[in-house]
This record gives sequence, C-alpha cells and structure tokens, in this order.
Amino acid sequence: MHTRFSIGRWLAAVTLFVALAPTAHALPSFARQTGEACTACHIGGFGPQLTPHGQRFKIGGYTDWDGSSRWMPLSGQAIGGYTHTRKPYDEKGGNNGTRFNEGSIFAAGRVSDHVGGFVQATYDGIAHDWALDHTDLRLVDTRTVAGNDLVYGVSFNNNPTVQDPFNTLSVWGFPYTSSALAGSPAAASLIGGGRGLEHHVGGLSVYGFYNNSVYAEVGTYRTIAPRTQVALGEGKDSDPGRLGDNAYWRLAYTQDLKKRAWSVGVFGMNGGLHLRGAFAADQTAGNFHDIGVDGSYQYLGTREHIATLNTSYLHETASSLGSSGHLNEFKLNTSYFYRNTYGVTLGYFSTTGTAFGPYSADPANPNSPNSRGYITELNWTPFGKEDSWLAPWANVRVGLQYIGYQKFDGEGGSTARNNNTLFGYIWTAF
Amino acid sequence: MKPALVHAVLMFAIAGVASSTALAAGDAAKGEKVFSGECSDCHSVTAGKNKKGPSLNGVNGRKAATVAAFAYSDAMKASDITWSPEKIDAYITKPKKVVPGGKMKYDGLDDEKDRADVIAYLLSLH
Repeated sequence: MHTRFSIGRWLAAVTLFVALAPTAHALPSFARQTGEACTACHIGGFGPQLTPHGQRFKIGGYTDWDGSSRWMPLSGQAIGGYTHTRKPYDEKGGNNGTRFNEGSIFAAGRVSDHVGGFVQATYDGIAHDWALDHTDLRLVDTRTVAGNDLVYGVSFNNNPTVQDPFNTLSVWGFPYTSSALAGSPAAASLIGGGRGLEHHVGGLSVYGFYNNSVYAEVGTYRTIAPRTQVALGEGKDSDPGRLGDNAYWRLAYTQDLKKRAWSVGVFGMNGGLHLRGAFAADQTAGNFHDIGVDGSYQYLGTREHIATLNTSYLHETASSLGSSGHLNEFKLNTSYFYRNTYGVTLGYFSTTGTAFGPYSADPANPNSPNSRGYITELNWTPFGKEDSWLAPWANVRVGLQYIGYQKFDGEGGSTARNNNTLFGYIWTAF
Repeated sequence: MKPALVHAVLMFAIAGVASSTALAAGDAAKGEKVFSGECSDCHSVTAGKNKKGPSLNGVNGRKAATVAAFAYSDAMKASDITWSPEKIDAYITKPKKVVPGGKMKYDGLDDEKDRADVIAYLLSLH
C-alpha cells in the first residue's frame, strides 16, 4: 500500500504544530523552552552530539520545559564555509571556494506534555532552493512499570535514523557538517542514505525507553508521492522509487552514570524499492537488508574535560535486476572538548563491498565501492553555556575540518587523495 | 538517669554530631564540581533562573515548592518540607523516597562525601 501525502496536509500539520505551541515573548529553541544551557543537551555546547540529558529530552518527545517560559517555537541556523580540494570539484576547474552552504528555519518545541517535535525547512545555498528538511514529530507518555519509568511514544519522521537518540547512526553521526562543494563516495547503504530515502519518505515508529536503560523501536516508511516530493522542494529526478514493505528497527542498552555514560545497540532496516512513474532518473529497483551494531562512550566528569567515542558497523546484502551485492560500513570517531568550548574530533571510516550497480555512480558499469579515510576537525564554540553572552540566543561554532582519502570509490593512491578536502566553516544557530 | 538511657542519649548525640560534622565538612569548591556534573543540567544557582528544575539559589531554609513561576508537582507542594542541610541530604540521596510522586527524574547521589560537598556549595551561595 502506498501512502500519499499532499502539500496541503503538510502545511496544515506544520501550521497546527506552530499554532498549538505556547506562544509569546521570546524566540524559541529547545534551550529557551527548558531554560537550560546548550551544554546540558549537547556535547561541546552545540548540536547535534547529545549528552545523556539530551537523549532523554529527545526520547521524551522534546516536551520538557521550565514550567513557566513562553516562547515562539521558531529557530534558525546558517552554515557557510571555505572549501579547498586537491582536484577541481566542478567543471570550471575550481578547487577553492567560499559558499553559503545552507540556511534553515525550524518550528521546534513542545505542544503539550505529550506532544512535541521539530520541522526543518532548508535553503540550499548551492542549488538555491528551499526544501523540507528533517522532521520528527512525537506523541509520548510515561508510566511506571514494575517500579521503573517507561517512556513510550510514536515518532512521525521523514528520514530513517533522524529519530535515533544516539550519535552513532547515519543522520546524526560525525561529521556533523561538511563541505557542500566537495564530492563524497558514491556507495552507501539503504539506512545510510544510499538509496535517497532522506526527506522522500514518511514513516511512523513506536518506541519505548525503560528504566533509563533499554531503548527499543520499530517502524516503517512509505515514499511520498513524486509530485508531492517536488512540491516539498525535492528535485524532479530525485524520487527513490516506491518503497515496498519495509521495517526499521532499533534496540539499545545505555547507562547514564552522570560522570560517564555508554551505550551498545543493534539496528537494521529491510526494504524493497520499485521503479515507478515518470520521475525515474534516480530510482533503483532492488531489495536491501541492513543490520548493524553500534556503541558509544562519553566521559563527562565535571564537564570541564569531556571525551566521547562513537562507533558503528553495518552490513548490507542487496539484490537488483538479477545481480546481488553487499556493503560493509564502519565508522569510528573520538572527540575531546575542553570546557565545552575547544574541541577536537578524529574519525575513521571504511566502506567495502562488491562492484554492484546501486553502489556505483554509473550503475551500468559498476566499480568497486571501497572507500576509506580519516576526518580531523578542530572547532571553537564560544557560547552555549548558561552564563554566555546573550544566552541562549547567540550560538556559533567555528571549525576547520580535513577529510583524507586512502580509497575513494575503489581508487587508491593519488586518485583517492585528489578528493582530500579542507573545509573551514562558520555555523550559527539562533 | 538510668545507664541504659544515658547510653542511648549519648549515642543519639554522637550520631547527631557525626551527621552534622559530615555535612559541615563538605568542601564547597569540590561541591561546585559535583553540582556541575550531577545537577546543573536541570538546576541553576542563579536567583530566578529556573530550568527543568527550580533555581537552587537560597534553597537552605526555603519552604519547598515556593520558587516563583516554577510548576511544581502536587507531591512536592504537599510535602511540607523546609529545606535544611539534613533534608537536602535525604532528598538527594533518594528523591523518590522523600517525595514519592515528585517529578525530579534523578535516581540519587550515593556518595556521602559528594552530597556533603554539594550541600556545602549550595550553602555557600547565600
């Protein structure tokens, strides 16, 4: 069965969401809603890496508040930066460029004790157009089961893993921003964004979080009607095809020990994609089965010195047009922040698999999907603390990121290194 | 006074002194760090600054559920607690034992020295 969404319903839902949220004197953000500093929920005082407190806020449906504040549930962000690559990133031969990456507005906040979420609309500074970005709307409740709290709820979202509370999966994993000019490897798993489901689907998942330790979720997605995708700002040729029966699932165990926290989990998604309609350019026909494991560790201490470790491994098996393939994705990153202000992150990534049409930029002549490399990032986040200037209105992160490739779409040596990317950025949220 | 009664009174007095000593021995500087790790996500020490929990500025001697503009649980409103070092100590040891039905989502601080330190820090804010 194919669920259709109309632009009218989307607009009505967003309008209702904004209208129902408490309105009043100041601009919104989750920080303003809760009265808390950005550092309460975010490692390094800036999104999206979540502390255990931030994870619980998300699982709780973004509904926590300070009990008295009144705010407009609106917020915004802008990202711009300088890119340098070894080889030209465009047909004009440019390998140095300063661009406004994107600007977003958010309707974000609680509607009631049981309803909250966010809807993001983003202006793409490269393509010069607006589109519906991440969306996560929740209905939640809490009850006591066997003497312990059970938070349970439903998430309506438009991107598999956007609803996940940990920073180990694709949507909220490191790097948290990157150059909009430089290229990136072609191969990615279904759940990792390789099939273009992001913002082209709508999904419902039910989840529970028991005793602040066991997180379980199961859900399913449907692709949005092609014309509605276009109406929501997606490209005419970007329809991923019709997503047939599918299941998204997640199980994790976490412990928040205040001075440190850790989690381990498993996750997966199975789904079949079918060609449809007139918008066939980016569609894929095939079946994809993803299963992965992930883990994280956070040393939080007194918040003066914070260190984190996030890792995930995913294995995908796939079949398409009579052939089959597999893909393995491994990611590991570790970060250190001093006083939630000065940060350094080191990351390693590896993708290996078979030469298989859906994993290649040219599906008719598939090449090896193997890519491997490292990411280093230094950043400075001067605000975001309780006593920061204009808190929580003024938020900015300045970062310098370098991605080095040892393998890129099957090529090694200097061919891979030609894709190495230096990216200096300014990211502000308000 | 009977010896047994004297003994009991002495033991009670010693226990009381020991308890007060433990609280009095708290190190406010260390307590600030404990507060930062355990409490500051939800509580501010700035007067009038409420978060998910009420401001803890001036909490000692304050009657529970009286911070202006904070939405307390019915259980806290009905608790009839006036916060003292001993009451704070008991509460942060096991919040749900002292105020069943309260909305503070905190399991408790097991370490006695950490509790003494954070209480010393709160007392130092006056």
